Amino acid sequence: MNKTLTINISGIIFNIEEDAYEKLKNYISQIKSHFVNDSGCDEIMADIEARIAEMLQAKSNQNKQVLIISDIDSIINTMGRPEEFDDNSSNRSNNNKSSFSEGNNYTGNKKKRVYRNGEDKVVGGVCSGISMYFDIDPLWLRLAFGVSFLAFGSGLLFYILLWIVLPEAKTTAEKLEMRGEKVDINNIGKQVSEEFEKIKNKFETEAQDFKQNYGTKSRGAVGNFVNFFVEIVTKIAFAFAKFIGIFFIIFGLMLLVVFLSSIFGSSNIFHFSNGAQSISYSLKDLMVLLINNDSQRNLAIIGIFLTFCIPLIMLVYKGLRLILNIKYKNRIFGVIASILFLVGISIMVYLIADVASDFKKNGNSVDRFSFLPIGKVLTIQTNDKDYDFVDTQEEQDEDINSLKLGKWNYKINDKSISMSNIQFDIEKSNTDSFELLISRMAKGNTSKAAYARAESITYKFVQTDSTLTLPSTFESEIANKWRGQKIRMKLKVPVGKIIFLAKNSEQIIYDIKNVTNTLDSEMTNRRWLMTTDGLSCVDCADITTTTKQKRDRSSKDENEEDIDLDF
Amino acid sequence: MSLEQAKSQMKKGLLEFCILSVLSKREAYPPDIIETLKNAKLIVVEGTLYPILTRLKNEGLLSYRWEESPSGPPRKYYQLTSQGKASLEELSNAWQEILTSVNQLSKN
Repeated sequence: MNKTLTINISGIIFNIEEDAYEKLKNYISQIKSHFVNDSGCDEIMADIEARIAEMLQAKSNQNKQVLIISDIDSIINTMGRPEEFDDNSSNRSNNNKSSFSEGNNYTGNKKKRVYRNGEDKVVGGVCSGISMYFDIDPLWLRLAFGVSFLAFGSGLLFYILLWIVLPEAKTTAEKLEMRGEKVDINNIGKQVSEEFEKIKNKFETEAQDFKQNYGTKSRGAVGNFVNFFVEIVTKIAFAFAKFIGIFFIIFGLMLLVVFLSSIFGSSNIFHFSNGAQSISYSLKDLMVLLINNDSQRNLAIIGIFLTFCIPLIMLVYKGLRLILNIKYKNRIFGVIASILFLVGISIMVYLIADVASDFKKNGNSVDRFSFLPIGKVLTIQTNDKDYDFVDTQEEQDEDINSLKLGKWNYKINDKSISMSNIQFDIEKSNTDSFELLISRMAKGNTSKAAYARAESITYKFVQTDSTLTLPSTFESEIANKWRGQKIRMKLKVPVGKIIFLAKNSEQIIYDIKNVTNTLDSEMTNRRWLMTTDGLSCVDCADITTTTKQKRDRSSKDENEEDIDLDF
Repeated sequence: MSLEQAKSQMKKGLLEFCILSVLSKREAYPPDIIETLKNAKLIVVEGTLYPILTRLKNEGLLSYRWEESPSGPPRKYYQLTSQGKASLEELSNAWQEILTSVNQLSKN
């Protein structure tokens, strides 16, 4: 004993066993999903259902009123499985990329698709296939790719990505799809309006169904309605996905070019400039400054490439999949990319730990120089001619080998790195002679290494007559890398001697104590007398910072006092 | 490409031509057409035919009329339009040309 159902196909009533019904239902929905992208889908379905009804009618008669599963099987045999509709033989099922070419050349919906063209190829047929899609001469694309190969290989990466993403047109159907209709503005417009029309029609019929079914089968109708909206939302999301895809590709490619050119070339990838502060450096320069040796540098290049470029490549890959609407999944590609990314991260962690270990210990090498100036006034200046803050900045911006990290400049030369981390202070001397203390400091993974690194800093000052010239930069061998090298100087001045701070000394003087608490920038271009209390300004009649002077001052200088309070 | 594939590609290309030819002789409904094509071994399953018929109709090469059926739902009887006749003539000329050149080639 079997349960039977009553069904209606094309207006004819049939009694059918439950399992046979399930089979028929599945079969019809398979056919429907096969033709769903077809413009004549509804009509084809109606025709096929009518034919099925006719055949079923022939199978049921007075003696046999119920349809059983073998009836359905025989119908499926005659009508054929959806995958048999397109080709007469089974060549489509041999093709493992069949899911990629669902719009076939029989269904009247001549959609164009991007394939690799194996018939006309130089490397992988990528350019040829794409130019087929846009109906242009492949020569231009090949040229463009050729040129982009030179741009630090970013084009090569993109090419390989396309090679992975795009399937080759193998069957005739795929080749026809590859050639397809011209894709131009008119056709795109047409397609959009057709899509719109389809949605509109669907909406109308859906609304009618809803009206008809309302009350009797309200739950089903609501379900249909929900499905319908889900479909619309999916379509909108799909269109949106294309935009996202384009964005992914552009964004990813731009960053890729930037990164690659920064690793292999030396273009500055970060550049912030706001008035006095400016930071700009390229990854290549950073590596020269930080990474110990060549093999580590190669490791760093690989590490940076994997950690930063793999996600970008994946971004471009996703973008391509989105805009080309590629459904088949290349699992291996994703797995390999994830593994490479993790490898990249491990390399970075290792390198960072390695470099950080070089900052564990401090080294300090102090030199003392005593001298007696000839005149009464000792001038302190740096070796910068025509020192002007703004000018030097502009110069540095043009110099690609110069790095600016916060306040300090680093310039990479052939054999050495010149650095500007220098601070100069003035103190009272307990003896009758001037004394200059120069501390060269650096860091290393052991105290010994740090000291050796500090020792290797080259810094030469010049004292002629009554002028002390202190260079604004010092040199460190390139092999020593940047390991926190800095120079701290202290000039001990005997009581009664006068110091003149030249304008260009402003970049090295740091927090020089004086009796009037004058700021460093205000101290330049003035003479300072060492008294038993500390430095005191000799020609500061116009300056405004002292509490002593304030007391002497008349009330008409109130404006200036306001400014002082800001300090 | 295997031999089977090559054969199927050939048949596929000719299917439309054959459908038009069948309909040029008489008005027919799909099972009739299928019967003829199956006898000529051009088609294996019926499902192949329906999308082609719908497309040809949408392209204006075919028209149809409804006819009540003694058993089952009403049937669609297809016939050639004047445009369809013109297309058929063109296709048949092209076919003749291909036939001649292929024959010549294979003889030489």
